[in-house]
Amino acid sequence: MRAVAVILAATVSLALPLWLSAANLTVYVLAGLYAVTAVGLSLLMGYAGQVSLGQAVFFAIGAYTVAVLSLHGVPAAAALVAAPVLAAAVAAVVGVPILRLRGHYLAFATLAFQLIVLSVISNTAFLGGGLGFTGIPSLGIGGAALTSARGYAWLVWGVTAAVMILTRNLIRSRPGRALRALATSEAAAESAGIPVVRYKLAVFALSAAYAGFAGGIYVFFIGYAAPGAFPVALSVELVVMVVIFGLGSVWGAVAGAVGISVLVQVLNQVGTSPGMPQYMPTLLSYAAYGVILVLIMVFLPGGVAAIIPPGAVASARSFVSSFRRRQ
Amino acid sequence: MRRSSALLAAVAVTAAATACGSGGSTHSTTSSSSAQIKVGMIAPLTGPFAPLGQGDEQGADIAVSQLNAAGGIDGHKVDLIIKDDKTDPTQSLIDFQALQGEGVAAVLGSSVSDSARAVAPKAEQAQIPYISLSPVDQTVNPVQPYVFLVPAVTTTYANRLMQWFKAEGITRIAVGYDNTDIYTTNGYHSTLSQAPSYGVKVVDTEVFQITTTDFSTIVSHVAGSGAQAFLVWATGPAPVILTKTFSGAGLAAKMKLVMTPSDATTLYTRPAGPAANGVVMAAALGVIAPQLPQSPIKTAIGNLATPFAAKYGGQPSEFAADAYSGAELLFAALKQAAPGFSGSAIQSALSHLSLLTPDGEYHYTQTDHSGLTPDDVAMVVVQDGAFQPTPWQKTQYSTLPG
Repeated sequence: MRAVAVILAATVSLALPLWLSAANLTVYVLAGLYAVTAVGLSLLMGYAGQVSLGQAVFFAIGAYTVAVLSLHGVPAAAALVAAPVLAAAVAAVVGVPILRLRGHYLAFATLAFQLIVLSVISNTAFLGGGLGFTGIPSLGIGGAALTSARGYAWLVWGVTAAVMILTRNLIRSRPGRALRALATSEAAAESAGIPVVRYKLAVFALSAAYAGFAGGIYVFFIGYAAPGAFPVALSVELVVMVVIFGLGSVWGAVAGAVGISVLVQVLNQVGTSPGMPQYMPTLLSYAAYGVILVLIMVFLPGGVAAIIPPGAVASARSFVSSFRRRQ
Repeated sequence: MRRSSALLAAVAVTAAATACGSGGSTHSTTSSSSAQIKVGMIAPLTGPFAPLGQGDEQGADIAVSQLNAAGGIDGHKVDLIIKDDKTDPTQSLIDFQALQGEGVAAVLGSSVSDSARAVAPKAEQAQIPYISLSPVDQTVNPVQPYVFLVPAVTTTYANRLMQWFKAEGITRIAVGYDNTDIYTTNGYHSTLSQAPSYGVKVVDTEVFQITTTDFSTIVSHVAGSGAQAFLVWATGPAPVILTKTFSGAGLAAKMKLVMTPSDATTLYTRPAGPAANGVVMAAALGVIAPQLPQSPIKTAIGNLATPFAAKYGGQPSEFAADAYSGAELLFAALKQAAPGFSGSAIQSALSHLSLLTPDGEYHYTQTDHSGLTPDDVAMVVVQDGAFQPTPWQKTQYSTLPG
């Protein structure tokens, strides 16, 4: 049953780029990049129990690493490897002081960290200042350059799959069990011999690496990096993506990233379609979006996945197994 | 739980595809008439810069209504397709690709610099003419063949300011600027590069941020600098607070406080109140339209201001004026590019276009995609919350555009 669903999801993901329009293909690529970032954030929030309201900063660090390196002639592959490494290194360093905080204080610290980084970038000529960088070359390896959106779609969703598998294996491993233990009670985990601080830091760095890698691909794809492209709103949106389908699920984070990306585009499309009054974009992008999120939080605190009745899953399972028996 | 989310993920992906598929085709079905020319617009209708986007939309809307009411271009009506970029450059790129997919002849860009910086290279690559409404010098320097700029560049403003300093016998100035903003930072550098040729010396430089709320140190530095004028490149609440501190320190009697077009709006004059009396500004000619002598530019400004007041009430904002002027420039080029309306024909028409608009008289050439000159900028003074021409400006009416 599970295998069928996975194969179906993989097939649909790979087939989609063949018939999406250019604009929708871009949305699809971005949704994949947000999915990679959201999986990392889900690991951090759902398993390690830490909150980050500044996850977009690691996306930005990855993006800027690639932008600066490739504009200075460093090969694309090397730049793309450096992106998650640097993002993780930064997370490991800032994580030492800020992961001592908990709950709201940790959320505010991560938020503040993002604002500080954006402000530093804006005022550093070497990093392009407020103007940012344009004309960043496409992702090229050897003589070949990846320029088509369809190519990026396959790359990004391939990376998404790899990140999902990596994360799933991590969760099922011994450190994964330790993480779940520390999310439940740090004191209990510590008394059971789990090195809590080291594990929290490692997860924070890993989630930053995911974000940094996604940010690196983003810059190759978009060709542009500026502080304005990585606002705090993006960090908040990432948290929404992780929470909406239920915290602590790899599939949920991916579905959340796709779901929110599509919802935002559909509301945008409807708001600006011909004949709509001038207030419609505002109404839809704030009010309708907000109401949908609030309703989900109020009525489905376990996430959208909670609405699937257990019976439906059981009957689907029996349907599949009866199909197997017939064969 | 995990199993159900696996299934759900697959469902979500499929649903996403359906939504994307249907969403993308909405516009083309409603506007597939062959008698229409599609023109795209990317505007920040929501997000932090929504007030700018509102002006963008209003100005373009009036220009399109007027054109279509007058019969359109070569028998074709213009269909303006507006996309909301949410003040997010990534969304601007999605919007641009959506517009490209709908086959627009050209794109009117956002008034937000991030959006213009992100989209202009893609428009250039796709050879779709891009009319930028964002005042960033780097948009047209160096020139990109398919990218044209509507607001004046800061070099043009700085040049006009220097003309005025020279005429007033001001040779020593202090300059303050917000180093978090592209427009204000460009303005500072343009001031430095233009000053020497007008015999003006920058004796003091003060840096602040858009969020700065205490200007007492800056004002006391300037007071002791021996400057005859304090030129401030800033936008938002900072210049209002600065003006009140400057006035409160009694400096208004000793030196001129000079501001730039981003503050030539009631968003500055209302909160600044009486403290703004006597503040000199470089501004678009539109802000002193009632005081201008009868002239082609006064008529051009009226062509926007009258229908704007009737439809939306009040005066058009600078963003509405920019969008209206940008649309007029584009329509003039489209008329020359009929009947094919190909990107290269529109580009070629724009590269040789001269046109009088409410923003001034444009002379685009192959090497100048900004098109405005210092004569298109007015030197005005704030009096009781209203903008009046400076005495020097009144002597310049022989060089009014048009």
